Amino acid sequence: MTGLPRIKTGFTPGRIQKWIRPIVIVIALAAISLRATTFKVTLDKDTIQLGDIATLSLTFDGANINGAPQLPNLPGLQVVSSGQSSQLGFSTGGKATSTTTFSFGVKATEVGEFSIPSLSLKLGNETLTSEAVKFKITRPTPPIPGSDAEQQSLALLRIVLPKKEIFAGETIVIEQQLLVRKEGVSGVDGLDVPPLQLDGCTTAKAVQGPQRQIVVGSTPFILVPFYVPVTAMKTGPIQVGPVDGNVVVRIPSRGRDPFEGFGFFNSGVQQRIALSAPEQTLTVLPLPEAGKPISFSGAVGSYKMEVSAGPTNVGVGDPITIRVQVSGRGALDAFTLPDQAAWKEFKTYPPTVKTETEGDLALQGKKSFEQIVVPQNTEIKELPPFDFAFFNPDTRRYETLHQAALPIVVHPTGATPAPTIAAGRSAPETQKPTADIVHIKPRMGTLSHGSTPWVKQTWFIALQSLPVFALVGAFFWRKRIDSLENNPRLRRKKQTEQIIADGLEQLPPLAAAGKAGEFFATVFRLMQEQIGERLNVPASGITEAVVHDKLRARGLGDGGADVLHELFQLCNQARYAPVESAQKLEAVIPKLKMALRDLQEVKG
Amino acid sequence: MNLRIQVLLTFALLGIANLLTAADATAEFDQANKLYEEGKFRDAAESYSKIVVSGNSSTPLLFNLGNARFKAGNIGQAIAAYHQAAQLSPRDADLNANLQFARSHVTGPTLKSNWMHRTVELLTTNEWTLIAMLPVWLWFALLVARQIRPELKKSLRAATLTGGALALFGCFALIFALNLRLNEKTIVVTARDAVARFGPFTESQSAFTANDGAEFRLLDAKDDWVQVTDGGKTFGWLKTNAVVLLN
Repeated sequence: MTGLPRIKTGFTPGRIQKWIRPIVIVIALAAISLRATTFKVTLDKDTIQLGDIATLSLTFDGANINGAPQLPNLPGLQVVSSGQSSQLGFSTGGKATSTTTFSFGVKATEVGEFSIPSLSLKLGNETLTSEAVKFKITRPTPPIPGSDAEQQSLALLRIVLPKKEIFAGETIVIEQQLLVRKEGVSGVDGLDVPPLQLDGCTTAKAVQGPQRQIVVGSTPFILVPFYVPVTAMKTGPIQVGPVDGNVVVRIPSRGRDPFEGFGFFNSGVQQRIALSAPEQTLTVLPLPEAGKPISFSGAVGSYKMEVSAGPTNVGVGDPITIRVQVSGRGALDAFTLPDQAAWKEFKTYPPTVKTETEGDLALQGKKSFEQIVVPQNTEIKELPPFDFAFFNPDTRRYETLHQAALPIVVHPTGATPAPTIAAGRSAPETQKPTADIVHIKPRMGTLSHGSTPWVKQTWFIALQSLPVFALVGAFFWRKRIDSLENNPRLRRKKQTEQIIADGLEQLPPLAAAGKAGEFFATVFRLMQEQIGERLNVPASGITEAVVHDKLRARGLGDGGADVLHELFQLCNQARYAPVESAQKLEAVIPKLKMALRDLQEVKG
Repeated sequence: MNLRIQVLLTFALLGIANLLTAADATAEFDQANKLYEEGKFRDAAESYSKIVVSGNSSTPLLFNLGNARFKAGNIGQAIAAYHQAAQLSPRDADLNANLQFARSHVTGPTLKSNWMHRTVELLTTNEWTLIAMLPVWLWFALLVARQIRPELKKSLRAATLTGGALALFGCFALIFALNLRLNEKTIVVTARDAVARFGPFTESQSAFTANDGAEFRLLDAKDDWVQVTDGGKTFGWLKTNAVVLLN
C-alpha cells in the first residue's frame, strides 16, 4: 500500500492501545549528581488531534543530569526524543540550582483516552516518582463542505471517488486532494498522510498530479492531487478512509520581513495542521453470470483486439505464429489468452506474453500474445475464428471481440522454416531452434528409490575418517619402531619377551613327549636369555654363578634365588640322568614361570 | 528357525517385493507411453507422475514425464521434470536438448545461467564427491606409505605434494559445487503469467510478470510467498503455488 509522499516526522506507523496499564519504569541515567531533586512529567496538551504531535516534558529540578534518559517502550504510544534544555540559577539562600528538561514528541494514530504511566527514577539511593499523565486523542472534525469553517481552514484533505459502485476486477483512480489556502499560507514544509487502507483491493503507487487553483466558497485554494489506482479484488462494501494526517504550513510573519520578496529565506512561522478526510464506502459488485461468454478470461475494462498470423502457406507439422494484441484500458495483468475450443485440429503451444503499459498510472496499454500452432493434416483450410471477451463496466455488459477465420494452405510435407519465438532469452544467432523435442524413451531403465547425495549420508561421512585413522595409526606405529631402534635395551627386552613367550609355548609339548633333553635345554636357554637381558650381558655366558654374584645384589629375593638354583641343578642333572616322566617335566614349567617373573622384577 | 534361513528369507521376500514393484512400474510406464503416442499428453503425464510419486525415479521416466508435460502445454512443469532427470544424468544429450527446447519457449525474465552453474551441472553431486575424495584418499595413502616405509619419503615427495594440492583443489571444488547445488535453490514458474510483486502481499505493487517456465534463483521465503531473482536486477515475490522448487 502506498501513501502520499511523506515528510519525515520521526514516527513510524503503529497500533495505539487504549488505557495503558500503570507501570513503574526505572530510567537509567548516564551520570547524575544528586541534590534535593524533584521529577515532573507534563504534556503540553490534554487533548491531541489524531495525526498531531504533543510535547512530553521530563523535568528534573535540582539535579544536574548529564545523560539523556532513555524512556522505556510505552505500549501504544510513539515517542521520539526532541531534545533537552537546562537552566542554571541561584536560590534565595544563595545555593546553585539546576533544572533540566527533556522533551519528547508523542503521537497517536487512533482515537481514545490514553495515559502515560507513573515513571520512577533512581537517583543514587533515592527513588523519584512522577504522576501519571492522562490525555485524549480525538479525530479532527473536517469542516462541513460549504461552511465558513471550510473556507477559513488553512489546509484540507479530501478523498474523491470517481464512482460509488464498481465491479470486481475493475480499476478506478481514487484521488486524494490536499487543499492549501492561497492567502495566509506562504508554503508547505511537510506532509504526513498515511496510505489508503483498502481491504480486498490492490493499490498501486500514488502519483502526484499537477497543482491547480480552485475556489472553495469564495476562498481560493491550491489543490495538490494524488492519484491512486485501485483494482477491486473481492465483492462487497469496501471502506475508503478515514484518512488522518497532518501538514506543516508556513504562515508569513506579521512583522515586515526585510528579505520577503527575494525568496532567499523561508521566512514565516511554521504551523502543523491536522487533516482528516471522512470515511466513504465503495461498493464492489460481482461480475454478472448471465451472458458471460465462454471466451471470457477475466478481462475487465475496455479493449480492442488485433490478430495476425503467419506464415499462411505451410506444410503439415510446420508452425504458424498467431499474434493477438489486446489494447485498451483496464488491469492488463489480470487476464490471459482465452482457450480456443475451435483449435482442435492444431497442436498448440503455450503463448508468450508481453505487457506494455502507458502513463504513470499504468491504466492502459497493450498486452501481446504470440501463440504457435501446428496444423496436423492437409484438410485444414483456415485458422479458426478467434474470440476475446471482456466485461465493460461502463456499459455493464460483456462484449466479445471477434476475429474471422483466416485462410491458410497446408502442404503434405513441411518445407517452411520455423518462425522464431518472440522475445525471451537471447540465443546465439547461429543456433537454429530445434523443430520439436526428442521423442519419449521406450524403456524405463533402472529404477532408483530416492537419491540422497553421499555427502549427506552418515556412512559416507564416517568412511572419510578411515584414511585419517590409518594415518594416525601409521604415525604412532612409526614412532614406536623408531623408539625401539634408538633404545637397544628396550629392543632386547622386547626380543627377550618374545623368546620367552615362544619358549614357554614349546615346553608343554616337549614335556608331554618326554623329550627331557630338549626340555631342559629350552629351560636353560630361557633362564639365560632372561638373566642376560636383566644384566645386559650376552645370554650365552650366563651360569648359575651369576645368581649369587650379581642377581642377589640387584634385589633378587631368597625364594627366587632358590628356585633358580633348583632349576639350574635340574638342568645340570638332566645332562647326566635325564628325567623321563612327563609329570615331572610338567612340574618344572610353573617353577620356571615363577623364576622368570622374579627375574623380570630384578633391576636392569 | 535358523537365523541364517530367516535372514535369507527376508532378503528373498524383499527381492520379490522389489521385482513386483518394478514390474508394476514398468507396466504403468508402458501404459503411459501408449497414452503419449495416442496424443493424450495430460493422461500420460498423470501416469508418469504416479510412478514418480510412488518413490521410483529414473532418467527415462522423468524424461518422458517432461515430454508429456511439455506437450500438454505445461512448460514449467516440464522443465521441473527435465531438471529432476538432469540430477540423475546431467550429460544426457537428449535430455539437454529437450530442456533447452523447453527453455526456448519461455519468454520474459528468467534466470541467466553463468559458466559456474553450467560447470557444476556437468556432474552429479555424487560424481563431484567422488572426484574430490579420490585425491584425498590417494594423498592419505601416500602419507601412510611414508610412515610405513620411511626410506621412500624422498622418492614420494613429489607425489605427496601433488596429491596434497589435488586433494586441496578437490575439496574446494566439492565445497563450491555443494554450495551451488545444495544451498542455491532454483524455482521454476508453473503458472501462466504469475505476477511477481515488490512485497509478499497481494496488495504489493506488481514488479514484473513471470511466464510459465521462467526459472529464478530463490532468495527468501515468507508465509506462502518466495522472493526470487533472475540473477540480474529483476527481483520480486511470487506465490508459492505458482512455482516449483527445482533442487
